[in-house]
Amino acid sequence: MNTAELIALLLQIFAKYSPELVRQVSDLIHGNPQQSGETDDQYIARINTQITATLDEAAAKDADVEKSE
Amino acid sequence: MRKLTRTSTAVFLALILFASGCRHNINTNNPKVVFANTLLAGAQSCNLVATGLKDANDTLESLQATEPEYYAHVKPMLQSIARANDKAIAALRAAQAGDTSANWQQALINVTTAAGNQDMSVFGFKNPNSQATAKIMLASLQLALTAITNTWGTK
Repeated sequence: MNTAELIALLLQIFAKYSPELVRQVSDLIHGNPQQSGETDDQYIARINTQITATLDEAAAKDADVEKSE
Repeated sequence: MRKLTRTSTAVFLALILFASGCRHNINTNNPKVVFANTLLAGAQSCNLVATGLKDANDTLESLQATEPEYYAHVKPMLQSIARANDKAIAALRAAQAGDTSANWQQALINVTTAAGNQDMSVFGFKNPNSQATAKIMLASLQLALTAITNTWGTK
């Protein structure tokens, strides 16, 4: 089994119980690159939108854990 | 299967450790761009922890009937980590809004501090199969905490 096949297998295993984790690790690896031709201001605006959405997503999950306190 | 899960967890952990050094997203020295990109990494770290917490919490809820003592033992720990993660989220929001005093990196490190050094899968379980379930349920969270330590610093 080569490395790519091993990674694919591992991703399948983790996808079974946490698809979100796989997506997020992928985000962490690849980040959100600045596109060719995208100005700094355009990039910052796009990243700020993603930051807000990501933090909202995290806060909702935290609230789910805390709610039965 | 358990051995495969352990192996896959270890390799996945290695991928995350590798991942933190792999972000080559920008081709500029503009400090505003660098800052936005760094904040995004912080937000993704918070979300990774929140996902690990939710995975653990969902499984813990399913264990409540058969392992009530374990539930009572671990639930407050997960909630403590969630509260620390909330503080990191608030600090990141403040930094995003321009508050230069918001120490969001320390807040992220505090998330790992809230988790402590205790292995939450070690407990006097009633059912011998429960420990394996607990190890799997905590894997995502452990990976997230390790990624934070690797990326933002140690306790």
